[in-house]
Amino acid sequence: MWRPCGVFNKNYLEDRAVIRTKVQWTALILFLSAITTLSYCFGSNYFLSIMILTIITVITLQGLNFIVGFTGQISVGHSAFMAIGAYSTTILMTRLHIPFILSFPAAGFCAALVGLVFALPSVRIKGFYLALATLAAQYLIGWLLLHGGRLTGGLYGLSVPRAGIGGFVVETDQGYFLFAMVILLLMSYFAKSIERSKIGRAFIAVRDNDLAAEVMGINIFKYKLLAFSIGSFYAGIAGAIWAHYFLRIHVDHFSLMDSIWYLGFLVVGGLGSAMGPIFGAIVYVGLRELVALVTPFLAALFPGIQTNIFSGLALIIYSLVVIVFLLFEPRGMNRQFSLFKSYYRLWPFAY
Amino acid sequence: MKIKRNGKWTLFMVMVGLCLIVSSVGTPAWSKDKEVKLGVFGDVTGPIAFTGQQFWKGYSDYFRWVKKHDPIKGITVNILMEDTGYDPKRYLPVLKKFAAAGISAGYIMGTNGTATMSDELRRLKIPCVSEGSGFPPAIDPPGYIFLLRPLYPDVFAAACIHFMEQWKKAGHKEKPKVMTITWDVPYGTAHVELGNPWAKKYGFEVLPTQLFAGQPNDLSTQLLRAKSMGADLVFSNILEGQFAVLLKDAKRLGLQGKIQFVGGSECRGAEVIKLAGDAANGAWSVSHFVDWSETDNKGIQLGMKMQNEFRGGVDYQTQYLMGVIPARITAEAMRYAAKNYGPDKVDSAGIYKALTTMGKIDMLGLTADVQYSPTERRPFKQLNISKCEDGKWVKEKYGIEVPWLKP
Repeated sequence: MWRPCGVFNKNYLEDRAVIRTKVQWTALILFLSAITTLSYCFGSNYFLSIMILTIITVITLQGLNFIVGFTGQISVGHSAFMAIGAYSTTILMTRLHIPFILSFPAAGFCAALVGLVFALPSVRIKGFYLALATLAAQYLIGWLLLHGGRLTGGLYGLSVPRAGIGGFVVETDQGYFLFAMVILLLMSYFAKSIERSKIGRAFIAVRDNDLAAEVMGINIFKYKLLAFSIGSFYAGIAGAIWAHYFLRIHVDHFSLMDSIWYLGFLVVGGLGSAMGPIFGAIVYVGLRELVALVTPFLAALFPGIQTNIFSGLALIIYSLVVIVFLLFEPRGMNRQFSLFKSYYRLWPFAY
Repeated sequence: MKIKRNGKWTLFMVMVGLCLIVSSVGTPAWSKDKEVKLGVFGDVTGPIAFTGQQFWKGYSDYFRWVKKHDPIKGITVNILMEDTGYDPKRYLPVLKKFAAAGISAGYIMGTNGTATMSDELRRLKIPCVSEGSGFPPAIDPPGYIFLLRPLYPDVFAAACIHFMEQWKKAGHKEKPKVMTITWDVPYGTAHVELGNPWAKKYGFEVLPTQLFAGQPNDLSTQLLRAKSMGADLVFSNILEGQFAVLLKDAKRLGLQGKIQFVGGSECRGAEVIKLAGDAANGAWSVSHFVDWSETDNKGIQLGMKMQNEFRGGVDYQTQYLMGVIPARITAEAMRYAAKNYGPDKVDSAGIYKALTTMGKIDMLGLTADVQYSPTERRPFKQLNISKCEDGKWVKEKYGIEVPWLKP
């Protein structure tokens, strides 16, 4: 862990701390206060909905980061695990009348369980073959949800109750934003803690060289399954937040394309870093809004080519961004952020 | 030199001064039309981009036409259009944006948007006309979604009703066999759950549904299954390109003329004929609107005038006409509300009230007359069947009354 010159740990508590210095604490509190206050007090419902979608994407990418970034596995079915979370919380609340406070975390555990099942092939196969196995998860889960009859609502999906604890129901976007923000903080803390724990180190060892990791006594079977479970747990929680925000879920909400873009934008943000999912999610959601804003104007400006090019402009731009990052900065925006931090710490000195 | 000023000059200057003061204050409120904002959830990019763009052209052109030739007294219409790209992640933010902007009504271009937003629209109480006929929960119980055509099971029912008539006329005694070959997505299979049991009761032998995924290059497997099971009628709720593949493969397998192929309303377009060529001959398509070839139809005449005036020539796109339909329904509801409740009442509540109580809306022959009610959100029961003959769609039978199937 890189720290500014002169900052030392004096005890184990300090050594284990996620946030190390007073400056870091101050910056974090100021940032969170600013973003929450601005969004809560001054943000329109549109802005809040974008913020909530960004939070959902960050949590999803954090989950994917465990599988791809830390453990070096691959998953192109992450969106399906979100669907498991979304459908689980809804079914638990509407069919089994389990309160939100229990059904919400249960959604994460259901997704983790399903993720565990689809992780089993990862013990025997990797790379391209594992990608195909997770692709099967995407299709299989989608098919089961679509043909699940009354349980999953089939073609029509399910209507989702609002989030609430006891008699308190979250009815406004402001309230839901705060709820999502709290969940994001908890999940981020959890992610960072795992990254710095024995488990996180084992994940990284498996990623860097699984044979060497096994020789060192790391149980590859256990840690690969664990990575998939934790990643799917995050996806399940993100799916549950999605469900209680949209108030209706449908199998079309969790498509293969989403899974692929999650993977692409995790690369853009920075694989295997805590900040990567945050950068990736901001770029993904931001680009989507930007493209939606710009496309009709461009289409009106060039009517002759609108159907050929502008109808797929979002896909073209997403793809270009991912390709550019893969070519020129494969370690993602997080790498640039780290370089920037190093630069301003040393500024005006060049060394 | 001293200039003499008389009383007239002073009076003139006072008048000029008054005019300047009045103009700086602005037009008095009583003389201003009320601005009514409409929100269009435009799927102008993404998987249904071509269709969405045509919808948007038809919709926006109709309001331009109304503004120029038949304005609604007391109100000015301001249309806000946002690209939603048929992406569920875009619908809700755009709805929030529109709600904040104060839209009074909206237009949704597909089932995806309807499914995503119907509950929120109920909460916000914003009436929206919608193409989302693949999502029955939006109208059950009746809410703020007003469908532009009957549900997809009714489209299937119309094909069955007309086929049964032909079957009986031909003197067949046995039950006809119907099979669905369709795209395995909610849109493609939307008619199966309600349609199949109804067809069985109606006198058909219903064969197992054959599904395909994505954009097919070959549908021989499904067609050979239809052949081996002896299907007489094959229904497909699919898109133009997919329908063309189905028809071409059917011709190759020698099934053209032996099985009656019927597509949903998205199958009746020039693209099917362009892609399938001769193989399209004899195919049917069920739709709720008329065809460009019917030049004596008032709605078609209006469509041509609009295109000549705003687009510099007629582009015979079916979906353009489909875009005119929601615009006319919304405009007529606003006109009714302005006339009966006053221009100030042309808001969400006023338009909702007008839509549910105004009675029949004359659609100029583009579709059957539209009529919603406090308990019904489907516009009409009549559907049309067109047939492909010598490279063009012609009238087969119009005004088939469907049973309004509902879960």
